[in-house]
Amino acid sequence: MCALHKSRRIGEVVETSTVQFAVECDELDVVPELGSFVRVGGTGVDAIYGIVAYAETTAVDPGRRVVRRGSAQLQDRALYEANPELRFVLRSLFLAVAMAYEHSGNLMFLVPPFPPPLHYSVELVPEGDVGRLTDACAYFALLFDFTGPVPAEQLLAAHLYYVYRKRGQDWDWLERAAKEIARLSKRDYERSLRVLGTLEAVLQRELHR
Amino acid sequence: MTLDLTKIVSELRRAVAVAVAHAQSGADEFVDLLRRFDDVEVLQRVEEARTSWLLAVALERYFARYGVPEFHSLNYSCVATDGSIVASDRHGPLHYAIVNIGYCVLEYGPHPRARLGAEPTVLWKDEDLWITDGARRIPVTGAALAARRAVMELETGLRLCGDVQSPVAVLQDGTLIPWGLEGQTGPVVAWALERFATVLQEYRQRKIPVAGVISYPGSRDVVNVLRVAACDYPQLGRAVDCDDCLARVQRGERHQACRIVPDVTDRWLFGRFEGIQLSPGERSACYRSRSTILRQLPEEDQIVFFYLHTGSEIARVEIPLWIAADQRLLEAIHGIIWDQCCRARGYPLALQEAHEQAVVHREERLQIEAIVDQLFADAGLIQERSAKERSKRVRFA
Repeated sequence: MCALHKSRRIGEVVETSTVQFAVECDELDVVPELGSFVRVGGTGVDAIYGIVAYAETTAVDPGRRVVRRGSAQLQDRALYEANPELRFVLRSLFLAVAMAYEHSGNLMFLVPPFPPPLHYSVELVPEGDVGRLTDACAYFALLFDFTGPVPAEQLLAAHLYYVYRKRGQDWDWLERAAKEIARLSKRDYERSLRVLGTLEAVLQRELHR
Repeated sequence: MTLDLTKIVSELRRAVAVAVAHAQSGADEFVDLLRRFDDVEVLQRVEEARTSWLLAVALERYFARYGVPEFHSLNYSCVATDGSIVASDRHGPLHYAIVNIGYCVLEYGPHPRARLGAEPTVLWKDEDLWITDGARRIPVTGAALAARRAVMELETGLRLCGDVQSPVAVLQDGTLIPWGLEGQTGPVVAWALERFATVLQEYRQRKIPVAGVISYPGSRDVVNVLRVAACDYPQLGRAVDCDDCLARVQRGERHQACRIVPDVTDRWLFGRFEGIQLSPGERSACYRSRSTILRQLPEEDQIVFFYLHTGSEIARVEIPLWIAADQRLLEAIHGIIWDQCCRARGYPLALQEAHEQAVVHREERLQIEAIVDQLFADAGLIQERSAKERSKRVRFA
């Protein structure tokens, strides 16, 4: 297992499988961005990489309903400050799709041979590593076929936008990624359009800012 | 199905009809009784009365009401504890008890903080499981174990107060009166009360207010005082004597004068009866309980109580007498409990969270049994369970 950086820790694995793992965040509402990369140590491998595919904040005890606490006088951040116990009775979780693993310095774009162990620390992947992970777009197929609470097209669009920014507004990479999406959905034009259309709308807004 | 509901419905209907008729009868006389209520005279009756019921002895006017005190609700600490017991099965291989004390510490003010958690304790040594009385050994189960848990809840609350900002109040779920000890043998009562008295004394010496909050109380101590007020014995020159009265009523020699008092709880009286009912945030007067078990405690640590409208119900709040005698602490307790109730829809938030921390789920109880079995197996011993226990685990038809 590689030594993960303590300061980048964001939570720990509370449900695990070969294809995806659920992570409980250390801090309430501090969840990684949809489509971003996270990393966790593994048994038999140095690290497992995942892409954030969904996040939620719920009561720690599923039997307890979250009820309204605020009023016109007490809202948002002030409400949390007035109810310090909320940080104990609520929790933020996210789901990551396992998309690659690293073993003896080799990066493999495959589902890991073993699921990440429960309670292992999960950290955000530093910006400098995003380039290495995304030079090849081979892993898009895993995301494209992933079935989760967030539609795969939305997830892919969020991931493309995240990588585009982390690679320093890398337009060339985005073009390559769009071609890969088009290739993956060559029998489903509508699907390809949904991914690229969503991304285009986001990028247009950014360009006009 | 083992209970034929169709066979009991008609009887239940009749019972309800009788109860309703009783509640509605004598309404005018009851109103008149309250109008004529003389605190001094009634208090004297109560002091002399021989009743089989518990009577509330008011520390002030019986039906005084107090609004929410001037209390700065944004700057205080509240510590709540609540305990769960996992007792080993009598048919199991090992005798033990696990007491899980859940706690919640809430600090409000410029730097709000919360601490939630639970501290489990395994009781397994002889001195934990048995009370020794000479050659006799009495098992620590039932009421004795509940008393032990109550003391552990109080001790944990006290410990958690160590590093919180003032003012602070410690809240307990349920009564502070060790009712379970009434009817227990002398050695059990002495064993339990010694620890109970010690921890209550420590609260007093450190001036940390503590309160037990009883949601949906079924007590009738104040209603029973109204029965004493309605009694016609004093007019006949005699002290109130329920045993004598009931014997004569059964012989058909007299009518029971206190029948004008409806068969209701104090909760109903303070929640529904016009003129007496409390508004949200208001509390009643403080009353001393006449529980016999309390007489074994120093007077200042004896438990008194008041009723509080929590916003959603009438709750009973029990506190040691030394708090009731200190206006500032009494107001702090009143204000803190009210603020806590406002934060959690009528029941103190800290208690709600302490309870959540204390709960031991069925799956966890089964896990404990499995761990015990495994530990025995690791030591090379396969424990046999009783035939009765096996029959419960492997239910067959």
